[in-house]
Amino acid sequence: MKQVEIEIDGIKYKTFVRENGFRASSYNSTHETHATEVFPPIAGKVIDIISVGTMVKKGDVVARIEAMKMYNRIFSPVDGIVKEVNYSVGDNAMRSKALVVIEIH
Amino acid sequence: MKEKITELESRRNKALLCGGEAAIEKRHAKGLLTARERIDLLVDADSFRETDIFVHKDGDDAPGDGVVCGVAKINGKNVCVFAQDFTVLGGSLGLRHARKITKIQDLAAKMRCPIIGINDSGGARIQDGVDSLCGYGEIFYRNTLLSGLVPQISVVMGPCAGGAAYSPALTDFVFMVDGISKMFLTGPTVVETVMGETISQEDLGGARVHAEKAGTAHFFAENEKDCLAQVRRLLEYLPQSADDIEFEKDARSRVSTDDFSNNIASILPSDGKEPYDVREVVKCVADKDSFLEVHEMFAPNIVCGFIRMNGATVGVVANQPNYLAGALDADSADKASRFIRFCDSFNIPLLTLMDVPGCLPGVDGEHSGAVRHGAKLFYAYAEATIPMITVVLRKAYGGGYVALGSRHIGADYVFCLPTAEIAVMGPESAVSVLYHKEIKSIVEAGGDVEAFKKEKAEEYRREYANPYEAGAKGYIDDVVDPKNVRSRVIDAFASLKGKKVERPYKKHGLTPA
Repeated sequence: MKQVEIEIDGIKYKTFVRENGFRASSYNSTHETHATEVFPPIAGKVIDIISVGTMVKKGDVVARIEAMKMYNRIFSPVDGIVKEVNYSVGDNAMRSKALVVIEIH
Repeated sequence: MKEKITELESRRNKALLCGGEAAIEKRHAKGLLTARERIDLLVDADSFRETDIFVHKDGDDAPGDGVVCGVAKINGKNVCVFAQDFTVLGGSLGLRHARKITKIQDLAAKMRCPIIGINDSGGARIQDGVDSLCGYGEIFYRNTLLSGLVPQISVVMGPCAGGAAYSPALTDFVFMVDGISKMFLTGPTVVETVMGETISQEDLGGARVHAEKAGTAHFFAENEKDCLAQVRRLLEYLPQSADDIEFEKDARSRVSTDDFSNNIASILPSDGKEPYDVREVVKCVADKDSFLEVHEMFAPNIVCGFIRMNGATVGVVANQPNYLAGALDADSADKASRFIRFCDSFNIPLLTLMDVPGCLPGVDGEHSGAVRHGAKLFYAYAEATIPMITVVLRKAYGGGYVALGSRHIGADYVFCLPTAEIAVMGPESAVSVLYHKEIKSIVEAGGDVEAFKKEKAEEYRREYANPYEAGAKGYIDDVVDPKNVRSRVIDAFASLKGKKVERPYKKHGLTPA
C-alpha cells in the first residue's frame, strides 16, 4: 500500500492504493478513485465470470469461485461498468490477481 | 437552614451545568451530546440518581472532575453508569475522576448489576502526573475483577486514546459511533513520526475500522441516539449478573403466539455447494424478530448473536457459508470463542448451527497464528458448562466439526439435518488421497481420470459424507426433519435447564492466546 494524491474535478484527494493497481482502501471511501479492482478473498476455480462492458450495481455477483467445497460469490463493491476481466471459466483464480476491474460510476 | 438549602441548590446547579453554558453550546454546535444528555437517553426516564456530584479538582472548579456517575434503571432493572464529560477539562482523567469511576464499579459489584461506561476523554490529565496513571490502573483492575461477574458495556463516544483504550477492551461489549468514536493507542501524529505512515484519526481508529477490521467494537451505530438505543436492546437479553436467579423469570411472558411457519428447508439450497445466508436459518429457529447480532461486521464467516427461544435468551454461533465459504480462520475463532465464554460466564444456553467446510488454508493465516487462535474455539466449548445444543445443517468437516460444538467437545445434544455431511475431509480431497495410486496408473494409461474421480467421490459421499455414519456410532443424537428443528431444540433446552457439571477446583485454566 502506498499513499497517492489524486485530483478529481480540480479537487485534490489523498488515498491509498496497492502497488499494482487502483484499488481504493476500503477505509477511504469518502472520495473514491475512478476504478476499482475486485480481488477474490479466496483462491479457487472460476465457475462463472461477468463479461467486459456489463453494468453492475454494488452487491451484484461478478464471479463465482469454487473453493472450500463451495461456490463462493464475489460481489461488486461499487456501481459501475466492467472494464477488464482477467480470467476465463475454469481458470484458477489467485488472490493476488484481480478478477475484474470496474470503472466507477 | 434556608441559607444552607440555597447554598446546596446553587452548588448543585453549578455542578449540573458541567463545563458551563458556552462549552455545552460549543458541543451542540458540533452536533454532539453532553454527558448528561447521553445518560438521559440511555436510562429509563427519571431513574438516574447521581453519585459524587460535588467532587471536583483541588482549588479549581472543574465540576464533577470531568465525569458524571450514578445508578439508574434500564428496562426497569438496576444499572450503574458513568459518562466522561468533555466540557470539563476535556474529560481528562485525573485521580478524583478515576476514583468516581472505581467507586461506581465497586457499587456495580455489590449491586450485582450491569455497568455501562460512556468514554469521551482527552486521555490522562498531564498535570496530575502519576496520579492519573494510578487512576487508569485502578479502573483496569476492577474491569478485570468484574469480568464474568456483571455485564460490562463500553460506549465510545469521542476520543478514547492511549492507555484509556484498554478499559473498553477489558469489558464485554464495545459500542462505537460512526464519525465520533476514535480509539487508538497512539494517534496519527505519533504514528507519522515513528513509522512514517500518514493516516487520519478516522482511518486509524474510527468506528468502522474497529467494527470491521480490528474487531474491538461489537456494535456500530450511525449516531449517538441509535447507539444508546442499541445498548438498551442488548441489555434486554442479559442477566443482571452471573448469579442472577431472577433471570428468565419473565421469559414466559415474552412467548409469542405467532406462527413459526419458516422452514429451514426453504433456505438451504438443494446443491450442497451453493451458499446461503445462515442468518436466515437463525431467524427460523428464533422467536419472531428476536435476533440481535453481535460483531456483525467483523469476521463475517461466523455469525454470533442472541436470540429468544420461547421467550428465553439463547446465544447462537453459526458458520456463514456466504463469506469465505464459512471456513474458520483466526478472526472467526477469536470472535466466536469470546462470545461463547460470555454466554458461559452468564449462564446463557448456547445453540450452534454448524456448516463448516474446514479451516481456511493459507501461508498468512498459518504464520499469523491460525493454530493458537483456532485453539481458543476448542477451549471455549470444552470449558463451557452451559446447556449446549448443536445442529449440523450441512458440512461438518475435519477440525471444524470437532471444534464447533461436537459431542466430543462438550455439546449436550447434536442434531443433524438429513443434509448433514460429517467426515474427515470432503469427497474430492478424500478421493485424491485414498486413490492416489489408482489415479496415477489411470493417468499413465491415458484413461478417463475425471470419470474415475467422480465415481469414487460419489461412493465416498454415500458411505461417509452423511449423518448416518456418525449416527451409527452414537456421535449424534438424532437426524431431524428441518421443519421440526425449532421445537426439538426448545424441548432439549428445557430438559437441560437444571444442567449441573462438576469440575475439579483449580485457580483458572490457560486460555490459548
